[in-house]
Amino acid sequence: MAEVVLKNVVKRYGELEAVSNVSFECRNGEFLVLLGPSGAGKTSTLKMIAGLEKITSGQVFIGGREVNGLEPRQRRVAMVFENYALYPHLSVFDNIASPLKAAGVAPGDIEARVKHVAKMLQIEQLLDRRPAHLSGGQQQRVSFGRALAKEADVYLMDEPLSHLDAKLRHETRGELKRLHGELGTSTIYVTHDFREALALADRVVVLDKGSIQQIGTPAEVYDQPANDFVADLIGEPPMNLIGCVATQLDGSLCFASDAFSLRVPSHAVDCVRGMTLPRQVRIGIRPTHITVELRPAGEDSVRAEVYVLEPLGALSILTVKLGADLVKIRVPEDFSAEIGDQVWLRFAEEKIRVFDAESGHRLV
Amino acid sequence: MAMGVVVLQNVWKKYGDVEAVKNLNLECKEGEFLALLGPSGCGKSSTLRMIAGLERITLGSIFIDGREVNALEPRQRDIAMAFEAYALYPHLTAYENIAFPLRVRGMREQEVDRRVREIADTLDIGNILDRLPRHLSGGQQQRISFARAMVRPARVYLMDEPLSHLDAKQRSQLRSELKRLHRFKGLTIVFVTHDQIEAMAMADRIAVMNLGVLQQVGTPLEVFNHPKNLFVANFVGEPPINLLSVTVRQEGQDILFTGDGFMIAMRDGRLAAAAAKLSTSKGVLGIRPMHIALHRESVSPHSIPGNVTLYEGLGDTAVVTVQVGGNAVRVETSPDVSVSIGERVFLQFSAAHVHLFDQDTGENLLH
Ligand SMILES: Nc1ncnc2c1ncn2[C@@H]1O[C@H](COP(=O)(O)OP(=O)(O)OP(=O)(O)O)[C@@H](O)[C@H]1O
Ligand SMILES: Nc1ncnc2c1ncn2[C@@H]1O[C@H](COP(=O)(O)OP(=O)(O)OP(=O)(O)O)[C@@H](O)[C@H]1O
Ligand SMILES: [Mg+2]
Ligand SMILES: [Mg+2]
Repeated sequence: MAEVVLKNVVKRYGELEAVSNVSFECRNGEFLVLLGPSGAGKTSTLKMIAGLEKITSGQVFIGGREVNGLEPRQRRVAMVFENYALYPHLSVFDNIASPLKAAGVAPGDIEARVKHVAKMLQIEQLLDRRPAHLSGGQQQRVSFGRALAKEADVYLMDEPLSHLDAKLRHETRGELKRLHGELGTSTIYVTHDFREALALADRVVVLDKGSIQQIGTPAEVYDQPANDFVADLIGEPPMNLIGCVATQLDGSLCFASDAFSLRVPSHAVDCVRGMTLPRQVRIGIRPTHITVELRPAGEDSVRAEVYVLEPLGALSILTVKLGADLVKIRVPEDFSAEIGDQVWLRFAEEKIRVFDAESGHRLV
Repeated sequence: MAMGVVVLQNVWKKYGDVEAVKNLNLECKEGEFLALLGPSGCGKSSTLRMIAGLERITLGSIFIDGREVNALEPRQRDIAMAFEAYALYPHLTAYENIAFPLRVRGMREQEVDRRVREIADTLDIGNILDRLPRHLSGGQQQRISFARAMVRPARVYLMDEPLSHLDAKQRSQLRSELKRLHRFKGLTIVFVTHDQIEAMAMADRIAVMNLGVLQQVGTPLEVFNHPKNLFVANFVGEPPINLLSVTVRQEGQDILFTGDGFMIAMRDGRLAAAAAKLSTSKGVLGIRPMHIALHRESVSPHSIPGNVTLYEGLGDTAVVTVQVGGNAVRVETSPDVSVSIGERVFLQFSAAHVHLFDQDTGENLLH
């Protein structure tokens, strides 16, 4: 077990700065998730910790020791990557067993460990096969199994569940959380799936374009996103961000645009009062905090036009056009509407967040 | 005339001893969005690759617009493909990769440029068009590969997990765009995924496969609300449906379900009729996590007690796992419900949401 510390880490590929001055700590025994969109620099960061990519500048420490100059094998980390990197000439069993053999683990123990992870990942019946004879998702599970079987101070995982179906992903996620609870091995886990981040993480590090946007517990990044980027990354669909101006109309404060006008909710009044009005902002509201009516629903309801309706079984996602913005709403599965229909929205007032239109920082 | 009807007739795929696809009969209608959904290894890619002509058909026939294509080369089938493994030309820039299928067709430079820019715009990749594939992240490469498939007209669009490396936002965006593109242009699309949300959100119909065998074909809501068997019920829905082995007994007007750690009585005509179809007194009761209410006190004699073993917050919702006897029961709740590990709770659900399956055949008796 060990903690991992990154200090002002930079990664450049030629001109391109993939990771910019990143500092964070994965505490001893912590489950830390690096969450970010495609191209954020997640894999690059993880590879520098693993020793698979040179650190352009800055330092990486594992267990208090600077590892910049160490080979991957000297860092005592176990890794699983999104491209599988299996040994093509070895069976699944031997692929999983190879790091254990290299570490001199007794054959009996090897067998037990391999069987254990194979069971957890539901690949027991594939142990004799070669990688070329496996489907995509099967290969990924083998590579995940190889990392989990190995003993290490730190686990580094790059999207290990991305190829699994919902059911298996759900089960494996639960197993992984339990396993982490049992072993308590420090883990840095890369994903672009906010669900995995929220369900697994002790803390989440949100990355975009090589820079850290927020570090916080799952509840913090969901409820109090530091900026519009974080708001937009978390949730399926993510928080709606609607462009408007904070202004004063007939003596009362409101958020207004060509498409709507909304009274400023009480928790935001103080903040809005402190602004020079009018001011360009974006209000943030989660798809679960909007209700939809098929006819006008009082003063505070806002008219919009149906853009698309996607049934998901348990619920449906309704997308409406509100002025220039597309707004997504979680609606009951029996909700029905056609593209082009008019609907009326109501926002749960206390859930409204406000972001600066220019900087994107959260104001309320 | 591009119509785009795909018909599979008694199609088999064998790799040596492995039977990857078994006697598959399936039709994708003109202008239909058909999703092939199933767990890893069920034969989705094998099926798609046979339609594409990338994999030999072991047995059976595949027709595109009435013509058997078994013996045709991929290029003769007039299909466009996007795959999970990006298969980009490494020496060409992203732009040239996308433009490639248009240039091959001898399209005018101006038209090529217009189309490439248009699709690049839709997919939000305008700023990386001059890069080589090896200088792109996984998700970026995947969008290029997807753009290359969508940029040209074809009878049928075949897609194998084209969104799997995208982040949530891009995926949900691309999902909406693809659905609208399909609606407005009337494209015929066969789309392989293991992600049921993708399948549900976009497809007109979903074909669910397991172990090479087609399990059910239906609209998203049919598959979700009326799963034909245990497999489909268990596969579609996240978190997955709870399946509890029960002994079923009729007592007066009540149906009595007894399982490990619980006993409940339900009065419901539909359930009674289903129970009567059981071949033995044993069955499997299915109840979806979102249809279970979680209480901290016993609210009725029909509630089931259990202990919380896992709590997973997911933002908009939370999933609580409750141990009831030997069963780990998942309950989907509002994230405002706070429970602690070890806490005793009570579960309740209504007969209207219950499914009953035959333990041996797996058949849904309410179907
Ligand atoms: N070998 C390389 N040469 C040049 N640029 C690279 C290289 N590897 C990655 N990049 C670039 O660095 C940035 C970060 O890439 P990285 O692979 O770390 O992203 P990521 O967050 O893992 O994304 P994804 O979720 O798509 O895998 C991207 O803009 C990518 O194009
Ligand atoms: N070239 C091959 N040789 C032998 N067996 C193979 C080969 N390709 C696939 N298989 C096997 O055939 C079955 C179906 O594989 P296929 O790739 O069609 O699955 P899939 O449904 O696409 O799965 P995934 O979601 O993991 O990609 C699997 O059991 C797989 O191991
Ligand atoms: Mg990556
Ligand atoms: Mg596949």
